Amino acid sequence: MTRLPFSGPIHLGPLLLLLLWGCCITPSWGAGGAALADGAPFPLMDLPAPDSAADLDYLNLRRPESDSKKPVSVPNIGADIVIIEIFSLYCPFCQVAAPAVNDIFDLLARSPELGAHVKLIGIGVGNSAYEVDFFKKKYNIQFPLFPDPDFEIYQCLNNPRTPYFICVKNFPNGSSKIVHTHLGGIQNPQKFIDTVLDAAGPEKGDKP
Amino acid sequence: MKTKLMRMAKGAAIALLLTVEPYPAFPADLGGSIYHPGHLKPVDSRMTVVIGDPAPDFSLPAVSGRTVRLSEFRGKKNVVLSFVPAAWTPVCSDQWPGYNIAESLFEANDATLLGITVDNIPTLHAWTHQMGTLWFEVLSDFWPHGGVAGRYGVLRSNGTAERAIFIIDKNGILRFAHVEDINRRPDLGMIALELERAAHHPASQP
Repeated sequence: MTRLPFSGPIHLGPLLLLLLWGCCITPSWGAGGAALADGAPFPLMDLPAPDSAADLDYLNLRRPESDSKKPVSVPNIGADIVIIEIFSLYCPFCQVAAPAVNDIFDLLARSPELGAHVKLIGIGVGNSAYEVDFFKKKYNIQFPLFPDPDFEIYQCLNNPRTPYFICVKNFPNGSSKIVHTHLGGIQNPQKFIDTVLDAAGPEKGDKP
Repeated sequence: MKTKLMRMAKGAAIALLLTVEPYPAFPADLGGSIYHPGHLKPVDSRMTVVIGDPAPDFSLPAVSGRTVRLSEFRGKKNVVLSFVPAAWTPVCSDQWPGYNIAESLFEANDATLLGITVDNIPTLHAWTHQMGTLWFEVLSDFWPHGGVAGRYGVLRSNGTAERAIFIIDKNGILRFAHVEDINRRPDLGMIALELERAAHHPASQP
């Protein structure tokens, strides 16, 4: 117990705990913009057409085969839920997070129920096609990664810090809405998937 | 009453601690340690070296504690010099963490990487320490201030270095020189391409 001037005795323990909490909290948007809101429409944007036939096959795009060279939009991805990882080759936290994100992909791929309905993509902000490909090979990433070399997509998403996960629900009418966002790495891939599924609600009948 | 209040305060503090996000995100402000200089003049220097000429030799102290001389790599390794403007600034703070996972790229081209800034050793130690363990040497061009940056023609008028890449082959010949817009990172693909050229297509001897 400590006695401070002009006050009664005071226990420092709880105060120290509060101070420690204050130091641990990393402001989510310290160097970025405002967080995207759950329930908001997903911003309109084009992703470059994938070069890889495997990526095209995975995305199961809702458009004719002849349009395979055209940019991709998230609502056009053949999945009820799209989990988008915003990352950078140059982001050390994204490097550390890569194995856990791969675990998310593996869990989805192994599930006959989820695999066709939940897709995972990554957008490399400020990264060239080479850099995105380097990251993909370095961490043996099996899901499509898209380059955003001039930060155009990054700006549409309010300049988030990385890694940042945006979980989008696609509707039959072609619209999409954000159902969950997560800043930072993933501690528990299964729990993350469960959280996303809970946030997305029923697969059909939910209004956009 | 006081004991009950203290217990409640402790419980609240613990509950708050449990809500802490254990994974920080990037770019981390590191408690406000990253200085944001705003948008800078893209290039503020004039290169003084010529591709095809011998690269100016130099000797600089490294964060590792040793002194690194460029010519020590003659006959052994191709060398990539990565000048970045300053420690504790945004673009610089994420450029080298990217090279840190690209060691295989350099190994494939029998090359090493030397990171150089005009900061002093203690500053570089603190800054690079938060990047984790780097596989490459980080050199201080602090004194004479910017001496090496100046000889390569990449010292800006405010005393920082340009964001520049130089590739020197095993014969000590300058094979590639690039000054990037200081507000952007140079593309790793460009470095890979030019390094592969320097490593596998030797220039003729002078």
